[in-house]
Amino acid sequence: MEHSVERGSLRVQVDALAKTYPGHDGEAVHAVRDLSFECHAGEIFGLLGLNGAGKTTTLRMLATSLTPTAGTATVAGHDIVRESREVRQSIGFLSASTGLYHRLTAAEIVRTFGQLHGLEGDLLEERVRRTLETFGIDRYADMRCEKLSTGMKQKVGIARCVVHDPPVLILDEPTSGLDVLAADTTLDFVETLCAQGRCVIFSTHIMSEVERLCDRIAILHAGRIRAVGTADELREEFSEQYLEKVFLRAVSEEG
Amino acid sequence: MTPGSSNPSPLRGWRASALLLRKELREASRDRALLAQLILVPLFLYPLLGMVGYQIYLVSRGVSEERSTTVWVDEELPAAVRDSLEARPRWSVTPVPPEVDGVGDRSPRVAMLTAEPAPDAWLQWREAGAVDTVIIHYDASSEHGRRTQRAVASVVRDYAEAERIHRAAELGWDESALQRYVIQRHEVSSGSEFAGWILSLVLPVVLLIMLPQGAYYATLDTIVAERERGTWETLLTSPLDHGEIVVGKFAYVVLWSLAATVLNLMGMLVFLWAGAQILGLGSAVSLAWNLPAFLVSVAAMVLFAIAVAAVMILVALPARSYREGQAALSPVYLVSAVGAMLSVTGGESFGLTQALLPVLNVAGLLRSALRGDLSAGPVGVALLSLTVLAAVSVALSRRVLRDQQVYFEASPSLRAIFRRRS
Repeated sequence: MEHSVERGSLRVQVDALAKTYPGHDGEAVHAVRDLSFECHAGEIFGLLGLNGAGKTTTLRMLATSLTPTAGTATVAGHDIVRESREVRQSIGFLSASTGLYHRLTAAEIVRTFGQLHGLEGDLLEERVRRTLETFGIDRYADMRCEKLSTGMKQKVGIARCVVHDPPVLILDEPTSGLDVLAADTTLDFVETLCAQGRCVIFSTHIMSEVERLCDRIAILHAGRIRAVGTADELREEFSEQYLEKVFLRAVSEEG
Repeated sequence: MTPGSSNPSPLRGWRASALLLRKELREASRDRALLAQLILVPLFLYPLLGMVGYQIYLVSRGVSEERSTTVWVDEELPAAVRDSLEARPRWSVTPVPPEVDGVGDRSPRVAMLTAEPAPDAWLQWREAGAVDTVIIHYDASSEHGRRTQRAVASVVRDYAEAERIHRAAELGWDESALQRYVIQRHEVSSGSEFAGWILSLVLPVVLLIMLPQGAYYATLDTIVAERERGTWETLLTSPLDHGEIVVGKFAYVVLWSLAATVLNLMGMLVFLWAGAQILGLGSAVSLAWNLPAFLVSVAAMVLFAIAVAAVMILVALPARSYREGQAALSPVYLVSAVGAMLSVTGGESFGLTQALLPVLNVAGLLRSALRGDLSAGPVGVALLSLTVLAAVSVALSRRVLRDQQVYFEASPSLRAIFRRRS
């Protein structure tokens, strides 16, 4: 996948986004509150938080599988509520579960999702072939996913996400459950995809991944952003040398 | 060129749903359990059932059993009865053995059970004036005992009839005056009517059991497995909208259940046809199914398939595992299976009341169509009732499928979903 990179243009804009669920005891549960950030082409924006911080809910709202209860957001210039289909056409979404159909082969999955995005004929076949080659899974293209290793499955998952060449990638803890080698390979691909000019929103709770990948970081806690900036800016703001310390202070401070 | 700048528009509407359906069918075609359910059941179930039925028939007629039969008789037993019993192949008739003491005092049951070897029946003959009493002791827990009892009773009836004629002759009565009426049976149904009657007993049962069974497995595969393998999110973040996902999933369950039904009906018809040929009934049996009856039956079957698919999708959506899915779907399947049983015991006529009741109306309508006695009123009511059921079921399942939380909640419940909506 070769692209002339257009860095800097706004891809994702989130403004006062909120999601509230009805709780079992009748009280509202605020999963996400007053969330605002933006992300540009060629940038990896990290959402860092503990389990239950609101990372996945935020990403699901951006991917339109959940509707926000307040606030607005645009992805690739499309409103996530009013133009949800256009948003989904513009994104690749990957979660830790890989979301693969085990009885289909790698090539069939990539092809099916290419077709869903409107690709057909020679263009479809060319994209499928190039995507499989890019992720080194062309040798396993005709193998059913149930027979692939976890690392291979994650590669197929990423290939499925990018076959339609989306400008925005939303990755929800994509290395969760992977061994060190497979996680490293996945992170390499994320860097490559970003270098091609994609805007990547990446959620994790692993500090080393954030340090390695993210241009900017938002620390989420209890549904709110506690701090946002580059790793250096956050270290300076909290007067801490290590990002772990920054994170722990951010999530422990009141308010 | 920037990412995404050269992309065409995503698939929309029916084309998108058709692509999803194709994916579901491709996956299903690689699932051995699903394929076994679809193909092996119609291939082997009916021949196996036929073999079982034939064995039951043979046993009930005593054809297959080579076992000899022993009957104990009292001394008072008329010689003609004894001769008739002894004339039967492999039957031996013996007086009550001397070691069985006090025939009149001991219970024949105890004597029969303690004797070695035990008799298959013990016939006691008590003369008591005008009407003699014949007591046949036998063991009802043994198929051989029951069959022996029937054979002994038949011999005694024949003896009684012969005795009646003999006595009448002795008294100088004309026997024919005593026997005023003679019953003769003539079967007048045509081959197609007879075949229609047989099929009308069997086809509704096959439909009501096999169609929900097809929907059951397809729903587990397309709804419950989607959650278990974590692929709902993959679909929900694709360009497909909810309506297209609903139509694709729905079409898959309906098609799979109809395919299972049609294959089962074909398997059963082939088996019945082969059975008729073997029994030499081939030329006597035919099936004349006119076009309107055929179309009405197909319409009823399709509406029923839609309703079953919608209800099964509805109840399976909150299930988090195959086990939960099976627990949720089994009651739906049982309702149809109970309907199948009731349809066998139901009355002859297909009236308005039965036409109103879902499940039973499918069986009634199909039965009437096969017997060639469809009438407009009940048919209209049945099709209307099925249409309403299908529409309500589809609307409810669509409503649940549109609820975002059903895909992401740890333990979603239909009650919570409907309360949220209201």
